[in-house]
Amino acid sequence: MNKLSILGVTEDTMFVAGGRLAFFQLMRSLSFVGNFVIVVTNTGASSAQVNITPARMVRLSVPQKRFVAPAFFILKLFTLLPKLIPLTQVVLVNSGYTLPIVVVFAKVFRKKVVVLQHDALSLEYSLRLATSRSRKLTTIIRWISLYPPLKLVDGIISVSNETLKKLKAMGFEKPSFVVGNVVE
Amino acid sequence: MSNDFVVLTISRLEPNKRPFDFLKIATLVKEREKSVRFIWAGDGTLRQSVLKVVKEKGLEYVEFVGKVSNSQKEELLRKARVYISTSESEGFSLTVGEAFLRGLPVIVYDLPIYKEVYDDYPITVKRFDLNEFANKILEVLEHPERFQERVEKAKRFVQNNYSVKAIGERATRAISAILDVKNA
Repeated sequence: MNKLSILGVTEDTMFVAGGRLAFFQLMRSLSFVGNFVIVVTNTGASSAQVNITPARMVRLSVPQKRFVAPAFFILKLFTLLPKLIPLTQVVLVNSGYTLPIVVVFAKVFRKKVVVLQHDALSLEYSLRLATSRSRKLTTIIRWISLYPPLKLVDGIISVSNETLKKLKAMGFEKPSFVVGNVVE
Repeated sequence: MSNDFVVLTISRLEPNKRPFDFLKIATLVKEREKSVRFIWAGDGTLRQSVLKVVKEKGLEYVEFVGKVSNSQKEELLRKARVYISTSESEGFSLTVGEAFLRGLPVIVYDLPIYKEVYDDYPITVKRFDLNEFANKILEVLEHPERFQERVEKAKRFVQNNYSVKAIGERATRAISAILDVKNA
């Protein structure tokens, strides 16, 4: 098996979430089997919980506040991604608000982009789960940043076939593979 | 109090995780088994709402302990007699696998994702049937020996399928295949 040089990008937030843990563990496992892996993320709930050694991690410091944290992280990505993307073979991005910016930068530098999709929720279902008007607004913004950019990625890897089936039902068809999730 | 049976959930406090089902199930179980405590570890947007219900209804046998460290999570898994999830939507359900690895029986709603990821090892109940859920918890607490073999098999299943090495190799093959498709 050829060894790959991979740049991983994921947001972190105030809450620990399964999708994010799956991404960190995936990056760790890719590094464990000999690939060169570097992950860019921001400070958040996973800071004290996640160790992805032997993969390397760059954790960008952002204020721990709703709206402010994503804004700072995206601004910092604008300066960091142009430096890191040219050094890698493929960019692996977690499903989240960083997806559009990562896709754009990867396309500019003619690199392949693969997304890790942990779950797939329709906009209607996501809105049903939103508990307030402001959360409905952020849900819409988040959904737009999560799903339409999938049309532009080169491939999708997922933790389960169930997620890929949901994506297919939502109209997203790309080269897709189920890889599972590290459980320890 | 310290000798109480512990029924554990580790999950974000979000609407799709159905924490209010957790409260109702806890009440149904407590009516028939006095030596039981229900613990939910994890934080989320519903924290204030669930705490309000716990306070208003005097559910002193239910604890929402918030975000926990890895060592606190291990301690909770060690104390627990059974792991449950009231979630209505999952991409993989990492914590179910973690519970199996610690030798715990797991009770969940009959979502297709559990069958795909964990075969027939989780104990499933009809979706949103709170009485059946409570009955299953009582059965596991009263007759743990009935589920011992199932849990042992589940543990081996998780070890074989979701190790760091297995996921790393699977993901490397998947990403390589995506790169090949685009380069062909």
